[in-house]
Amino acid sequence: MTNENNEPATTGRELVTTNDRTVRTIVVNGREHRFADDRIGHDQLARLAFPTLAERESRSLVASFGGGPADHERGVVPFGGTVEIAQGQRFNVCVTDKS
Amino acid sequence: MSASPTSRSPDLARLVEEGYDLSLLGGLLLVRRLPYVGPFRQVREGVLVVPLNLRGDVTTAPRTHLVSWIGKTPHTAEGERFSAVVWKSGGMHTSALVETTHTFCVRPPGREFHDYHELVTTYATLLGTHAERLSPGVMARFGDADATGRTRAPAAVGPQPWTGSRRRGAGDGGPRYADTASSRAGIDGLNARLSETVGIIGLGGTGSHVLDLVVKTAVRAIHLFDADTFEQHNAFRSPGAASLADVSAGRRKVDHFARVYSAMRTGIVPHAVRIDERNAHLLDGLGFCFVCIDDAPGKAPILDRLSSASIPWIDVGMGLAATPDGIVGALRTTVGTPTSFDEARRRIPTGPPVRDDYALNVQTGDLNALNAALAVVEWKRMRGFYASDRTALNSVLIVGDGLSSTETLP
Repeated sequence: MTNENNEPATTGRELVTTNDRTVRTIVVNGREHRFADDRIGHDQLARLAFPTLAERESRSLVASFGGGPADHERGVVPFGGTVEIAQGQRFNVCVTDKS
Repeated sequence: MSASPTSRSPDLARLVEEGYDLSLLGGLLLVRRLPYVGPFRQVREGVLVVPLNLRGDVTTAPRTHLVSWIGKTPHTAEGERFSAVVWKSGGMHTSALVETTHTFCVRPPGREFHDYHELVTTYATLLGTHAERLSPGVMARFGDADATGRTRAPAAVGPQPWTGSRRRGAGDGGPRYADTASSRAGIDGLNARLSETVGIIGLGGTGSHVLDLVVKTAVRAIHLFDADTFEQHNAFRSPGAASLADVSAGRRKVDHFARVYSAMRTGIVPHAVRIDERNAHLLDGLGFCFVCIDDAPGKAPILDRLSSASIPWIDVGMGLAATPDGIVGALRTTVGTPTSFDEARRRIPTGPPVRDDYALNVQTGDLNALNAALAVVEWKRMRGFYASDRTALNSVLIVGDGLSSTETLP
């Protein structure tokens, strides 16, 4: 997994394949990341969104997505689970602590 | 008692003039020789122990209506335990020199006591009236007593005790006028399933909307817990229309909302406290509790206490962020029951606020209302008001696309 927040946006829906692994660009909370796996986990999204958050705390984050694969275009990432990703997929990860 | 607090505090001075035996011990006011009926209908004398709120050695308005007692368990003249006054055995206010035996809980409807004169005379009258019936004249030494020796009921004080009991009893309330909406729809019978004592912790945007919905159900009593003051910005995330006078009055949120909703029903009990380890026992008498606070670290003692007392709860929370495309985020509704307390708590943030541009405190009244409605609907499912064959653990609603996802228990 790479985390290159400040890298210029990738062009269009370009995919890069290295060592048989497809690197896709995903957007987490408005920031682009290049991600070298077919699936991404709730914990990985938590770290991309809030790198300084304690692991115990990050387990309670709510992660949702749009622009996913054709058969699962939008949804909620299960707590402790993973989802398949598509190039350009957008994730929103939030701390639901306000009322 | 030292001269200064009584001479400089009109409420205490008035109590002394009326014959009450006062002494000060640390921050506690001790009112000795108060007649009451003990077990076996024996008339006795006890000591009321009242935590004093002082400013510059002068009393200010009492912060709490809870007081402690030194004596036997008070009973009515009929010999029943005086559950309208006695909240629990064991005193709340104790020190190396004072060991209290019971905690009492009585308050005027919709507010706290104005001063310590009103507080002491209310408790003294409630206890003394029963003693007077068994032993006429026992209250005569108090200036409050009339020529017949019988004490007058305190003017404009109708006690609304918090019994701390889940049983039907004192402290219960109901609508001031009939729920014709339910009778027209023919669902009066289902309302009985909601007949319990409900707590709402936190009266911010979401908690105030929870109250707005719960108050229109057939619950027996609603206990409100919040120490904050109702301010101008709160009006924009609360139901109804607060007036300029309302937002300028400097009332506690619990008092503001109890006042507003007492127009519609009785049994709304404000507690102007922030629940923490020291006072979490105040929750023990609830049948159900909505937790609607922003203070994530402050949730631990609340959820600990509710869980240890096997009181089911729903915790709500939203996470919104303003982006160039608009506000994004999610609403969360998490359900704790005796079979899911631990698992549910893993879904709830309990750490300090995240320092991130993306996690600012964005809230809107409509989403507060929606989060509240989702919580109240879930509670009604749990109670069988709405038919449901699943037990929810955690529900998430994504604001951007209206998608919702619910985890259920196996």
